Amino acid sequence: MSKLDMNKILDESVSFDGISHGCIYKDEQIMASTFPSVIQDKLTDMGRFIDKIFTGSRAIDRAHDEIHIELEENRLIAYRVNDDFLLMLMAAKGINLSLVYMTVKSIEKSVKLHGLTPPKNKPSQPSLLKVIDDKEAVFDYKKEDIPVWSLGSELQDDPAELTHEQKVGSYLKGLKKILLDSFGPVGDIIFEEAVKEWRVSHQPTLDNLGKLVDLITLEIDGKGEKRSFFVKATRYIRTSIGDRK
Amino acid sequence: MEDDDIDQIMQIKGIKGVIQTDIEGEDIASTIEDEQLGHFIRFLVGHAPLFEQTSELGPVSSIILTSNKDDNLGVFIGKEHSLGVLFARGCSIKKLYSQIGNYLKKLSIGDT
Repeated sequence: MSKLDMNKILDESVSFDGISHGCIYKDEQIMASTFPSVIQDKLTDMGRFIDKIFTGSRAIDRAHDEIHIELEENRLIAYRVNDDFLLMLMAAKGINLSLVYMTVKSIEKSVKLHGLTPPKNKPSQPSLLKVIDDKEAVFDYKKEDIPVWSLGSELQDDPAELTHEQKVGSYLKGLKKILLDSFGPVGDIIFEEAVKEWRVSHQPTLDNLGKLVDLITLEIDGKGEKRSFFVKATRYIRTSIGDRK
Repeated sequence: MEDDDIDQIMQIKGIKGVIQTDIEGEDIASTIEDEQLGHFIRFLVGHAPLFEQTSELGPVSSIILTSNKDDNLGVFIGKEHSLGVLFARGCSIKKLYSQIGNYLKKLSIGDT
């Protein structure tokens, strides 16, 4: 059995509604991340801080391996996985903690069994990440850069009662919502540009929604943001259409 | 917080100890006898503002540590006071918030 890839672990972790971003911290480096590139340079410091707390806990013979840091709008949850690396997740406050916990425990077991490989792109120092992914980054970021991930379902109408065109419209709304939740008003601009291009180059059908996701992804700046959107959008479409088509 | 409040928190099922500290981390009231644990709680209280500075993600209202081997530990940060709570590992975080929420409000702690 092949080893687990860090990016796959991250993709699995951020696939829940309620988890907006995640990263893996190991040996004072961020090994993989879906956080906005504008805060990549802070992640190592945050990882170091959390690692220090876990070390403090051990120093007094305690075995804490999960930490919840409550912020104004989100909760940062970090797990010490197999005493090997930290999995840090930015979560909505109302998230189902048991679901996340069981997923992390499952990851922990899989890593124990199969080992772990770093992502194909080699681990990067925050400064390198910034240079590679974020040439036009806004360095003066604020907490607003971390979106509050909605826990609601994007597709509100019963698809059985909708025409094909209405179904497409519903999915477009869902994709737009994912963008707005992640990027705020900028998401609206990205969405409109991509849909315009999609309608010109493809038939606006359910089968072509994947092409729209590709076009939107192309419009998004930053490798982490691209991947985060792509994972959420494809999962949303795959799950919804797979279940209801 | 009155001693009565500390006593009432201690009556809640699953709560094993409480420390109330002032802004400088000095104990105002405590039922935690383990000296090292007391130090660790004060360490967490002191680190919350450092995390705020590091992350720039806004105010930290609480830090909660959990384990499936040891008791859980929560630190709730206020402007003038902070509250450290040692609670049984079977007690969920959401349950903890609902159980001690009124006391946190009384101390203007957190965002309950």
